[in-house]
Amino acid sequence: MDFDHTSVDRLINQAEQRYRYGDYNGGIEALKMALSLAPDYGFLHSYLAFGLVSQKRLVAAQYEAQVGLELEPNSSYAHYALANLLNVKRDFKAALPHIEQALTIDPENIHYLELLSDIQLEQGNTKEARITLERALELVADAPDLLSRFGDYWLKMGDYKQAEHYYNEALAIEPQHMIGLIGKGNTLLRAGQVAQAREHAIWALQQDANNQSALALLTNIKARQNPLMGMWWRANTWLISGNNARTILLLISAYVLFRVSAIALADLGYELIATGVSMLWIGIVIYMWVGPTWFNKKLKRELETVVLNSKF
Amino acid sequence: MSTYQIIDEPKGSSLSKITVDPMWPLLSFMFGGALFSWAWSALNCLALNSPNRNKELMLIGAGFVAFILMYLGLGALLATQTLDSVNPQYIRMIIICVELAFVYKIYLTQQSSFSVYEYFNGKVANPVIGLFLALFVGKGLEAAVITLLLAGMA
Repeated sequence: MDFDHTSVDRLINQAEQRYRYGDYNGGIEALKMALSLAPDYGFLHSYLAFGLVSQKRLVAAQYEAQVGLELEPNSSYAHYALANLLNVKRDFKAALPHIEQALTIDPENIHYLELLSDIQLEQGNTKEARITLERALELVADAPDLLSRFGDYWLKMGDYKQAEHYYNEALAIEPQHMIGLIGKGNTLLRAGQVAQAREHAIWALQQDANNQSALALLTNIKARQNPLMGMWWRANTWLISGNNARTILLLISAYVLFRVSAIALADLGYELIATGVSMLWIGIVIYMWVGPTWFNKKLKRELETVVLNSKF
Repeated sequence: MSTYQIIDEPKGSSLSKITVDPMWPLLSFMFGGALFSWAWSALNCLALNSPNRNKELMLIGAGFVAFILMYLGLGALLATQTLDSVNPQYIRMIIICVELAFVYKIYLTQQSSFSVYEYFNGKVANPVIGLFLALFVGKGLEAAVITLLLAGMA
């Protein structure tokens, strides 16, 4: 391929740094610039697909992953990128041959093995998933991602002791490892150690306040402490994780429901109740306006006021 | 240097400066009815010039067709006195539900492109003028069209 390799490599490095620190937008920008210089370099398309998957731009990600594979059909990374996308789309049947192909080309890549174990686990092949993880662990014994995945495996199997062991190992290597922190928090919560689980959720959220898994953990903790408060947390987490679309859908559904009940009640001669129903609708609209702000303030306060246990 | 363009990125157009958050055409449904909301969404769609442009325009077109058919059908039923015993508010509610389904679907389709457009520092216009137009023009316009459609079948 005829292009300025130095410039493209520099842009790839820049994208790698940005991806590593969670700045997917920055990474995508760097890769777009690299693609302007080398549009037929398949790796760039495949790498771009990863960033797009992280931003949930799945249509664009699928296009880039397929272009990457068409340009370099024998690249293990191109197969891996497509398998990763299909896994996110929960099309495990289509993802499996691509990750197997990637492993045929590069059998000792632990990232490929991790993805294969994820797919196997999702397909219910727990024994195969475990064998795959053990194979990866034989290759690299001190990778926090891999150890956390083993923790996830045991958590799914219901063996909390084993799960905690692997999460502890991951956190011993990298104390701020997000998957490890959230996984350990989930394990502690299931084992009934709510206060400690909360410390892990808060610690994870202090590193990344937008992490959905950490927020889901904190919500589960709230639900355990107080079912009513837990319902409120669940509803708000659901609303804020779906952009505006969920709020609007809820508003439309509530509007239709209240309008129909108001008409029916008035029709049956219950005008007073019909007025009450309309007032309730206005109340819901006001709440939908102020609710998310209120929730975010409460979440912020939660993150600010917590004092971590000295043993944490 | 012109950068590579990802397929879901809006291309922008000469109308880009009038692009608004798709939430506003959706909310204008409350002030100015479905026709105004769809017309504003169509304008926003051309301003955004996203890869989903044709899909959005087809959805808006389908909304207009459904609107005409519903009121023509209602006119025909009213003319034959079939709906005499039914509370007209229920019929109005059914029509609103169908309109809202189109409004919401158009919003969802446009929102994903708008998020990308906004991220790349695309200029976003103030929706106030649109909302005023919805309030003062939209409702009247819709009432006139409905009267025309109902009278057409009477």
